[in-house]
Amino acid sequence: MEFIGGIWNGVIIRPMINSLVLLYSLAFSNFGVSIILFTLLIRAVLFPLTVKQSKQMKAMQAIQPKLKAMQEKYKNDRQKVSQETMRLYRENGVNPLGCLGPMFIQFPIWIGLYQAIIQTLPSTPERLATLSNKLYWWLPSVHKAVPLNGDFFGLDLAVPDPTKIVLPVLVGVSMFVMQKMTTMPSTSPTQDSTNRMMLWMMPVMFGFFTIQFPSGLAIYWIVSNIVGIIIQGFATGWDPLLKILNFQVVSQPSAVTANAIAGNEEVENEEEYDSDDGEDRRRRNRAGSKATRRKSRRSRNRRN
Amino acid sequence: MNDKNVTSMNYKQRPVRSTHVLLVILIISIALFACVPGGGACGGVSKPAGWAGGVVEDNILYTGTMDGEIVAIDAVSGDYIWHFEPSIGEEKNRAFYGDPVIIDDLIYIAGYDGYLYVISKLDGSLWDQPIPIGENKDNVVGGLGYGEGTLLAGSSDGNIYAYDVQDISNIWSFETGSKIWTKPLIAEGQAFFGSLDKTFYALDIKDGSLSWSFETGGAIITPAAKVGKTILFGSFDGIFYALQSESGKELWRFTDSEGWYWGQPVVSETHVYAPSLDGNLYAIDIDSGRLTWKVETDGPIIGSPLIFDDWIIFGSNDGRLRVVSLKTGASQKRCNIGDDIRTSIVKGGGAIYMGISNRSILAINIKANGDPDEKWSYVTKDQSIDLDRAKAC
Repeated sequence: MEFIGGIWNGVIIRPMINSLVLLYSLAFSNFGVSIILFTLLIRAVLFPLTVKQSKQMKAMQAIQPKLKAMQEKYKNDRQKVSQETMRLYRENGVNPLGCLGPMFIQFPIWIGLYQAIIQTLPSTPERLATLSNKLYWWLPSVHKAVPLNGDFFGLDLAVPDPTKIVLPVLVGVSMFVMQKMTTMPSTSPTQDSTNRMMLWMMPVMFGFFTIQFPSGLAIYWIVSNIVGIIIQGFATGWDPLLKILNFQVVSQPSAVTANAIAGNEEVENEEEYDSDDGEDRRRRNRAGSKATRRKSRRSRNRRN
Repeated sequence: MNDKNVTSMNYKQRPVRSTHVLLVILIISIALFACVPGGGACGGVSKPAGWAGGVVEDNILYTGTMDGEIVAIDAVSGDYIWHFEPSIGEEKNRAFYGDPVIIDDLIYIAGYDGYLYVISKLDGSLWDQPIPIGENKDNVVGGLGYGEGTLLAGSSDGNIYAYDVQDISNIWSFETGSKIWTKPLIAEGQAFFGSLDKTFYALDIKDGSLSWSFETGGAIITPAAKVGKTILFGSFDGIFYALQSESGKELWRFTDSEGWYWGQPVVSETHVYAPSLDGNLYAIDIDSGRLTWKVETDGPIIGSPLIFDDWIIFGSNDGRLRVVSLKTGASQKRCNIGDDIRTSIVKGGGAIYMGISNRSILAINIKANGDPDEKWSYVTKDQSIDLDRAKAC
């Protein structure tokens, strides 16, 4: 356990603490700016992964109609469904777990950053005394920067938001938008409900965390979410955000509805399914998507 | 049949996405909650515990405890005499980091809660209402300096406050650029102290006017030591400085440390012994500033060492008390206490006394050959500590 703790400290905590302090010394001795720069740095490092995630999402969206059609076609043969699903994923370069990559990687970052913040902005003399051995001695500027000023727009970044409202709400809202932007299309009503649950659960959970954790961590979450939203927006489009803002958007229908409709269309072509080459499939896919959008609007109008 | 299959198919797909996502959420929840302040698993925001040293007078040890109290203990037997528990400041700030100062029958001590307490040495009762240090009662960490009828307290509000010891009236204050966490030294009409603004100050004790200041490369928490006309202190830049006390002119600097200086150095006729958070105790020649010897430990040294006859005794956060030869640094005798020793070590009646991070206070006899021998241990409020444990040494 001590060994794991040593690795954790050496690989995650110490580099984070030193990065934060170094950025502090470079960023006008402002710890808030240091956290923002650090977040951008982390986001830059994770950028290839985020782009990959976005591409995965796009690819997943693209194969939804086929997936649905295939499920309908082989609904009596579970094994075949499984095989065909995997084949579809493989052929389209989709990794069903690909979207979780950045989340998994950010997970140790969150915990490490939490620890780094409370150790870099010590709340007691005991904690300050332990900081000495966490800073790299070969980096003199970090020692000169201590003690750090944790004040950021009147907020003490070492302690939770005293209002217990402002930061939790900002974290929750940014997390909600982020979730909305990155939610994978669902292939069934069950999954759709799971997605909906996730959409609300994550913001509420992180909002709750923010009440208890140092404000510095909340700043990280907010900035990280905003950057994530921007990247996602450029990669897969701004429709989800515009929907939230209640703009009239010519957008894709809800995944389940789309799938259901697309599925019907695809079933008509199911005999051709197996013989398709990639290019034809993509072309038809695009056509299918347009048809889906048209149908979707029609069905919305009908509902209205 | 079809419905059943559809259900199975949906079930087949769910584990790929939602279950994994939920698993991630679950892990995040557990891990982050393990880190909830006070949870301890991730070392959450902690309550100050304090590391006040003690004073032994008439075979009674007066010291602060990690429970935020002042206790009087029979130095010979380890028996409890009285305790004083502050009740005015914020509970979250109830701790003592500075050593008590005893003048006549009164004990003066500054609390982390920003109050100056004056209590009776006889029964621990309050002599007068606690005096707030500074308008905002910011944390006081360094403890009180005393000399020439004046008590000095450095505050986290960046000011040093001077009080007339007769009536505890505020005589003057002096503002620095950052928190003052050091114990001021009063000598030859001057007050010497460092600030977290990286500057070392010398003030006229009468009116608080600035005599000189000296800028270092790091925050200064180390209380200064004085030998003749030389002022000695360390800084967070890892440098130990020797300055001329009258002018602030630098005499030499010692740069071997790879950690901050925190604890107060002690001096013999020829050497200054400087504890460092890099885990070393450095014996530096006062005239030349050169290293004579050093003792390495496996943890930071926060408290001040103690010169005891021909030995120098110091504790470390590696849980060991060491007794080494004052001249050579050799003949190490150890006492494996097992918990951090953060307080300064005090002596009285042939024994030494220190606070341990397990909330106990330990008395150790030092034999003529330097061998430590545990005399008694006093447990504060935490009853979980095993009093019948084997002796640490």
